[in-house]
Amino acid sequence: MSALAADIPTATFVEVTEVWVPKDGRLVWSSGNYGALDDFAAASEKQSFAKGEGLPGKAWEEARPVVLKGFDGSYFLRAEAARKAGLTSAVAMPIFAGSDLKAVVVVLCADDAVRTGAIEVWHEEAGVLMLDDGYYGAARHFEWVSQHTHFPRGQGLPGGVWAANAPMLMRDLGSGYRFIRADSAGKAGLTTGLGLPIAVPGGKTFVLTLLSARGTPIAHRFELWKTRSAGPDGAKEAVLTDGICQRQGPLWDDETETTVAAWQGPIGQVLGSGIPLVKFDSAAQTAGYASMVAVPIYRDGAVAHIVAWYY
Amino acid sequence: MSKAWHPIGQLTDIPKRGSRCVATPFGRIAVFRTAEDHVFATEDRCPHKGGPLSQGIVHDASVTCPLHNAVISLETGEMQGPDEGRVRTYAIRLDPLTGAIDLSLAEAAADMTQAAE
Ligand code: FES
Repeated sequence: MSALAADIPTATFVEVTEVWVPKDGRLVWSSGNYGALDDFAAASEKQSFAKGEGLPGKAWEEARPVVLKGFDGSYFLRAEAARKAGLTSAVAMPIFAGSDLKAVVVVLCADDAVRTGAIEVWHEEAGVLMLDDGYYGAARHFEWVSQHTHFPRGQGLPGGVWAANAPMLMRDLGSGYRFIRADSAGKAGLTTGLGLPIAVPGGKTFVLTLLSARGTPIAHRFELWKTRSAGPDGAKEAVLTDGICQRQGPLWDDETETTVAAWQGPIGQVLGSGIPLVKFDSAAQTAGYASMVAVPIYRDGAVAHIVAWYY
Repeated sequence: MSKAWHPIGQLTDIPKRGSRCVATPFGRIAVFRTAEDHVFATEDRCPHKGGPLSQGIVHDASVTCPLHNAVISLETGEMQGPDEGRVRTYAIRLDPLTGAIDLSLAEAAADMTQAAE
């Protein structure tokens, strides 16, 4: 696998990932990875948001994922710091346990002519999933195709996530008809797709997709974990059900189960706390990659899955 | 071991870039027809999570699994990309004049005998 590892490019589609958690009626900073953007990190760590305020507050108030393209003159509170850091777009993903907000995950991207990838929000309307909005970087044609595509339940990556009400990892996006936008995805160099069901109060259906491209990947490793109870005391554990790793090959060996207990490593921490986590600079815990993001996926008020990506 | 060939049908029974399944004592075998009218046979079970490859789409000499889009080489049975895994492939022949397709289960039978020993 060393040839593959040597191929791993360093430019990524997402520049910043941060987690905000509610405390005393406001969203405060919990964890984040800002790469070299120290000033933006400093501006962020001391920020907090009331419900409805800024991008995280909007995702909280509206109880839906929000895509924001262009910060100037918008409700984005850190617009000046973002502009200086070259950040141009953001997506906020609220994490609800039933009607309780547990956290808001925000990813921020920088725009240029080469960075390709996609972060999309799909919502159900009249029995099909329609594109709410998405950020695609330089993948303009793919953006156009997405805007003109809708997914019945069970079809494509968004429709598959909707039908299963579970996260899903799609391999080669450019090669199949199940990924309906395959032709355009192939041309845009999109390779791996991660689809997440976003639980919100009131039972509306939202699906978020992260589509990673070869040249500017969102991540080099993806993991899907499923939670289950372990033992009579109600303790929970997570079992690795699927994954892709550019270094390690398949992560879905059905014969030898990989499990973690609550509070064991970063996945266990997400399982124990129910709060998303961004970690970096601790290679042992981030599978040999510099950084990781792990997000709990709730169903019926409890953590049902954990998804993680490493970059 | 000499190959025993079993007639399983005609090329035209299989849609171009599609497949048909054959039930055998060794499980369901998917028989694929490429755009260039080459035929391949593999077990109808994706090495990833068992997806029905016969319902995948055929491109060049590969098939994309309908469940999670893994791409599998029809020639070698190997999964492409960072995933590793392979499906069993079966010997198959096409008579260019009559379009008749024959399948051999000799390798599968040999493996079975080995496993039993
Ligand atoms: S079962 Fe074939 S790709 Fe998952």
